[in-house]
Amino acid sequence: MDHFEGELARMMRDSQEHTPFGPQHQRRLRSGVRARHRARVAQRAVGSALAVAGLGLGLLLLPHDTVETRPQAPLPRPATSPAPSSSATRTPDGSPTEPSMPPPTGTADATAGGGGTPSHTPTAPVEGSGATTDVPTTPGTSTRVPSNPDSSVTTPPPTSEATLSPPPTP
Amino acid sequence: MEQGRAEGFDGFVAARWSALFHLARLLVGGDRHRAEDLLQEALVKLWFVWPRIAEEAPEAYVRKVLARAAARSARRRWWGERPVEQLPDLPDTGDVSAAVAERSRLEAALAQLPPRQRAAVVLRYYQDLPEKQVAAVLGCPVGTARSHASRGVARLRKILADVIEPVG
Repeated sequence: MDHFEGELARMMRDSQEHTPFGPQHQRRLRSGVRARHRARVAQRAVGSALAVAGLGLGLLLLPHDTVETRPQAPLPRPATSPAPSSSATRTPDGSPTEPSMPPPTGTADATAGGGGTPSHTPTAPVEGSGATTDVPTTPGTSTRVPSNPDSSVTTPPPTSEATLSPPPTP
Repeated sequence: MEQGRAEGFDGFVAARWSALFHLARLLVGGDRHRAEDLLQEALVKLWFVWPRIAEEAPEAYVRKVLARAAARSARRRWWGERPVEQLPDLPDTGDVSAAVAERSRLEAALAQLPPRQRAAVVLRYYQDLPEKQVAAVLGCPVGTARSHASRGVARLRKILADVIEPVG
């Protein structure tokens, strides 16, 4: 610290004058503390309200997210139906669907010329009729697969099936 | 408990008001009203942290708040401070004491410094803080604080050349 810096420090210290802490200073300080306290309380209240609003909004939007994450496609069905009844191959709304296993050859509706939709090929699931195909496995179990599993809902007479969808000819 | 807090706080403020007010006045370059506003603002902040730092270093906390607020408020130019080549009108020294004249000259010279240089000079030479603490108070690296202080002193050396005669 050179001479100038020493003199500068001395001037700063010597220029201090005694200033008492008067009642007007105290009143002003108290009012400043109260104002700042009110501001902090208001700030905290606004923050809490915003937090609650955000939480409520988040909870409101949460169920929509779970709906969107549910699988939309139907569950995969077994390759072979466990029972000869056709209920396993129907969707819950009753609309007919094709089984996941390849249809047996030689069935009545495999090559239906009337269109690809199953509603145009009403077949009967009556056992022993010509509409069913026996898979050469153990009889009496689930080996008998109906050619068209939706037939329990729409039960047209099995005789009309032969005329509607003739068997495929090689 | 609130009563004890208020008593301790009031005791500290009453004991240190004069010194803190002088520090604030130097930090703002002599503006008495601005210094009082700055000190009130710092003491209000101190009230809310008083239970935590009452036993530690409340004056250091006030010093830090004062220095940083002075630098910020000066950047906003609340009182339109402009550096000038010539010193502003000084009071006649005939009817006032030499101490008042010297203080006025010092404050006028400090008012010409940029706020961060002024804060660094005041903290370094009035508060007698080492450079590391000056940097901590101002919230800047040590090299920056050293640069602010040295540039401020160099400028004051020119401004106060006729007041403080060089030795030798």
